[in-house]
Amino acid sequence: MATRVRSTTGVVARRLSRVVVFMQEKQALRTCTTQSTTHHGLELLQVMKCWQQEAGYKKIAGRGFRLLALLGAGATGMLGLSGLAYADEAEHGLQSPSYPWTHNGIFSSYDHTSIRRGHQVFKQVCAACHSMNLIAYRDLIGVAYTEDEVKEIAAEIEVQDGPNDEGEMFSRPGKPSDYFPAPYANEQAARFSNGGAYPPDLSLICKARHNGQNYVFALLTGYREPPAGVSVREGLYYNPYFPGGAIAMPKVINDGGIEFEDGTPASASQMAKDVVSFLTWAAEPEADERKLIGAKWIFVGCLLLFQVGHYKRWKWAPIKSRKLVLDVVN
Amino acid sequence: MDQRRRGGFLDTTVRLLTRRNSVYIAFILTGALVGERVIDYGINKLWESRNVGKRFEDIPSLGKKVAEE
Repeated sequence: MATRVRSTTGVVARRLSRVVVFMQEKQALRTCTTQSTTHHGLELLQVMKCWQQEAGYKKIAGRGFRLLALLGAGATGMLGLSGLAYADEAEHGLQSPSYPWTHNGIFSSYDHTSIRRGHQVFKQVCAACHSMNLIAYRDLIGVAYTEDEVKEIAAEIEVQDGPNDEGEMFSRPGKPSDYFPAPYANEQAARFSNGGAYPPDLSLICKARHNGQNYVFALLTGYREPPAGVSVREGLYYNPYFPGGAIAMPKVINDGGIEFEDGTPASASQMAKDVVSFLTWAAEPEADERKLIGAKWIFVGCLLLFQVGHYKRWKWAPIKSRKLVLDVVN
Repeated sequence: MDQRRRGGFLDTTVRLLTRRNSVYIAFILTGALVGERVIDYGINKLWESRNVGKRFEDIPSLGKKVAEE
C-alpha cells in the first residue's frame, strides 16, 4: 500500500495520472454511448454499466504513477535536506534572541516616549561616529518632540549654507528642515578616525540587518570577554553577535552613560532598548500608519469578500441548479 | 404558480436598493463615505485601547524642553 506522500513531484504525478484516467474514462463513455440501444428510460443505466466495465482497468494503470510519485518524493526529500540552513556562527554571528518589543504585533504602536529617549541616546552617544543622513529634524515633530522643541534642538547645530548675495558660503544655526549632521566629512575621514573601519549610517540599520532590532540590541549589550583560545587583535573588540566576532566599535552603552532628561534611570539595557526603538522608528517611520491602514482595509476586504461571494453564487445559481437530460436516440 | 415570496429583512432591503440604478449608486456612494468614517473611528478606538500610553500625546515630558528656557 503506497504511503501518503507529499512532494511537488508526487502531487504532479498524481494529477497527471488522474488526467490520464479521466481521458480513458471519456473514451470508455464514448464507446458505451455508441453501443446503446433503444429505450429512453433504460438508456442512462445501460450507459453507466458499460462504462464501469470499460474503465475497470484504471486501477492497474494508476499503480505505475504511484511508483513515480514515490520516486519523486524521495528525490525531493534528499534535495530538501541538503539545503538546511546550519546558521554557521562564524559567518552569521551568534543568533540574537527575540526580545518582546512593545511595537511587535499587528495592533501595536511604537512607544513614543522610548523613541524620544532613544534620540537622546543617539545624539549623545552614537552621533559622535555614526551619521543618519536620511532623517531630518522635522521628522521628529509629532513623533518624539513638539515643533518648538524640534526648532530648539535643530538650532544647536551649525549648518553650512549656500552662497549669499555676495557669493560667499556662510554658516547658520540649524532649522527643522535640515538633516542630521554627519560626524565626518566623507567615508575616508570616517575610516581614518576609526582604525580603517567605517561606522555605517544608522538611518536604515534595523531594516538592513537580518532581524535588525534584535540584532542591534544584542550587539550593543553583548560585549564580553572572548572565550578561551580566541583572541582579537589590537583595536578590535570581541562581540559574538557580530559576524566574525571581532568588531571595531568599543562598548559604548554603559550603565549611567547619559542622563535622560525625563529622569529615567539610565541603565545599559534601558539605553540600548530606547536607542533600538529610535532606530526602528527611523528605519520604518510609517509603521504605525501602515498597521492602521492594513487593519482597516483587510477588514473592509473581508466584508467585500462576503459580498462578492454572495453575488457570484447568486449569478451562478441558475446554471448550477439546472438539470441536464441525456436524450440519446440513434 | 409560485406565490409571491414573503420578504425577509434582507430581501426587502436588497429589492428596494437594486430596483433603480440611481438608488443603487446613491447607496454605494453614501455607504462608502459613511462607512469609511465609521470604520476609521472604530479601528482607531481599538488601536488606542491596545496602545495605552504609547502615543505621542502621552509623552510625559512633552514641551518640557522649551519650558526649561
